[in-house]
Amino acid sequence: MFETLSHRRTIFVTGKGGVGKTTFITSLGMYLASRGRRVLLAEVDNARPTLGAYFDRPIGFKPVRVAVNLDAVNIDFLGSLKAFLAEIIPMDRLVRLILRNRIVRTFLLATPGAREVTILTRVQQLAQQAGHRVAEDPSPTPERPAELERRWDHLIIDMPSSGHAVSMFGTPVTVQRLFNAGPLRNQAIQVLNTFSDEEQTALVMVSISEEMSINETLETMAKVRAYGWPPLSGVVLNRFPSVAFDARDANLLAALELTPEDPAVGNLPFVLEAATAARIEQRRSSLALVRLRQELAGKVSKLPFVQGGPVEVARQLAEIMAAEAARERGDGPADTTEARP
Amino acid sequence: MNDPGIGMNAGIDLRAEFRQRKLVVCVGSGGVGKTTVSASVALEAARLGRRTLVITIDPARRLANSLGLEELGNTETEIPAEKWAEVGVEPRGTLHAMMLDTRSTFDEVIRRVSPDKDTRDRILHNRAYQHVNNTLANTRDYMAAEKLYDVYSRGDYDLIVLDTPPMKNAIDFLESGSLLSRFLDEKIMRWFLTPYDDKRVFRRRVMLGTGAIAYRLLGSIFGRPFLDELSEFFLAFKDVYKGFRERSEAVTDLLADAQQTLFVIVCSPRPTSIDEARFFHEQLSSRNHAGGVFIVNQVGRYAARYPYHDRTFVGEQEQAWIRRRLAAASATAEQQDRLLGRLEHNFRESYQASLVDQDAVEMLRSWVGRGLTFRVVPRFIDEVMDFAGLMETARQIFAADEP
Repeated sequence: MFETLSHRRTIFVTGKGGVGKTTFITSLGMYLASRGRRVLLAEVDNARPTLGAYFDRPIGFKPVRVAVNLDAVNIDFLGSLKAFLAEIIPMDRLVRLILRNRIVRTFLLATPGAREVTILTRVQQLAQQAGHRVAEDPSPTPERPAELERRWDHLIIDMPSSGHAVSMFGTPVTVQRLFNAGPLRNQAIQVLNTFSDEEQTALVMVSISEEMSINETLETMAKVRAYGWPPLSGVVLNRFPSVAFDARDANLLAALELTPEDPAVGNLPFVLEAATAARIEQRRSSLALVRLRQELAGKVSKLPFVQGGPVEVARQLAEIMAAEAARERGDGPADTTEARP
Repeated sequence: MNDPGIGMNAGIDLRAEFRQRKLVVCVGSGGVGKTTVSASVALEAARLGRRTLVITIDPARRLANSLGLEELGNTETEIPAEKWAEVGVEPRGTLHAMMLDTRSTFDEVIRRVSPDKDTRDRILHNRAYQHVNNTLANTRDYMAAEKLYDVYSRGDYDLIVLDTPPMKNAIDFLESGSLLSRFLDEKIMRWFLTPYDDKRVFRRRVMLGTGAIAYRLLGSIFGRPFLDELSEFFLAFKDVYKGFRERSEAVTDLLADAQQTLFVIVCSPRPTSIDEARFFHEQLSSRNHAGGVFIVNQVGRYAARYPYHDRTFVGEQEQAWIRRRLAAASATAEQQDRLLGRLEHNFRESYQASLVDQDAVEMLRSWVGRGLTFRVVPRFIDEVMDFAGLMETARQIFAADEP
């Protein structure tokens, strides 16, 4: 999967809240950057941007360099809106004046779809600068697309968590139904045409082994597909536990079950409880892996649970991705970490 | 010391806090077990004698099942007595649960505030309304608040526990009502309605200056047909506006009333989650809401119970016991060594993960300071998925309180 992703221009990433999305996109960026690609990481519509914490600096609407070959940007609504209006009204002063109008502000803030389409339009502009070929402008008198300087090889987008992401992915279709004409409708069409190109766009979902997370992953996948986006390029099963006990151990562990008659021996109860917890987690993770593979043969990658701060975790995951991509290309050692249910 | 969390919990009586309130609003980011915590505190309140309702947002079928229901719908359903019997508890109160369906809640509101059938149908069938209902950001948050107010004002319950939609921003929920009513603001409506008014004088005045530019701009962005449709929607909505506004204000007031409403901030010990919990708390305090309870869920089980960094993880005594048992099960010395090594390694890893959690919890605790209720719930060995699990979660949350 990670080799496949290195052939896509724009990579959208989503998943249930709290599964490690931002750490994942950071590590994916680090991995691609380590292959000499120029990468832009983009956080989208997040009330509390978290990407900056990984690089110890604030990240705003203008892309900034955060590491070798690695840039980062925060695509917020107001910035996107200004950029959107600037395309329609080529006068900065007038844009500012109009945005100060209470009615216009309220309208733009609350009109269904306006938020999502302006943000996706900004995503498209950045994708174009990452070498993504943009679809034709469907407006009656299309303007010649501005020549944008090619600045990156990949754009990786940290979408909102799946609930919100689904409504964002769904907006281009909704907006086409709702509006009969105008730039918002045209942009919605163009955005969907641009990103429905499977050769250029990848869609990745991050999940953990918990049942709720797997359910949400499968549901989101189906919905996003129905909205005209490309099929999922892959699911990452994150925080996959290492094999603590195998089948042989399981038989022996059965002999260690404590009964109420057993005398208290040090911290034995905790040691055995931790072993039980590890085995339950292992079984759950194996089942999750099997279930995902049934739905998405060949598109599931697991990433191990790694101890440490977010930055350290991202670095280690980037190395694992590099190794797995090498295996996909057929020039690395075979995967020996496979867990057996 | 059977309660992994008990060493970390102390002080304020959480049960008393809950007893004094009529509403408990659980806020937090996704993936921290907010729904489980909401259901658990509702369960405890019911056990102690209050007529309790828990409203959840996620279509969590499994939660429904764990409460003994086929599925949760938009109507309140009582948890059957068998469920309580299963865990050997006789509740002194009652427990109802429901799942919020945004769309039908909005329709219900329109039905309730419409003066006649004609107005009601004009709104419900308007295309702009249908899309506002489906896609307007904050609709979901607002409808949660609306439903809360609805059941609250009926007075059938002593306590309502609301599991809010996952959000990045607690303010989204608190201000959802005012955002929606701002969108439906009378002045803005009138602005759109002027093409339909007789008072052309007013219209001309609005249509001068930036107002005119704005109208042309909106027309060119959204297309004139949409603006016309929206005008129709506002025209229909004019008659229900007052009722809508009053309700929205009542919801906002209720949430701001610290005597009645308690906000519970739920988080996990992950750094991003802790950070968000702090942010929620700041937002709540800056608006004088009673954001008085923190519940840190999914905390590693071992650090608090076993606070000896330098000790061998599986000591001689334990090793001897394990070897004896394994030998009795005719395991070879080699097999014994292997399993002992794995037990040691696994416990060490679990313990270290718990230490990381504990550090995060302590940091949050010192930031929170005194005067706020702070509770730690241990990570369960398995996912909480049945009534007994909810019961156990409740026991952990309230473990430090007087029975």
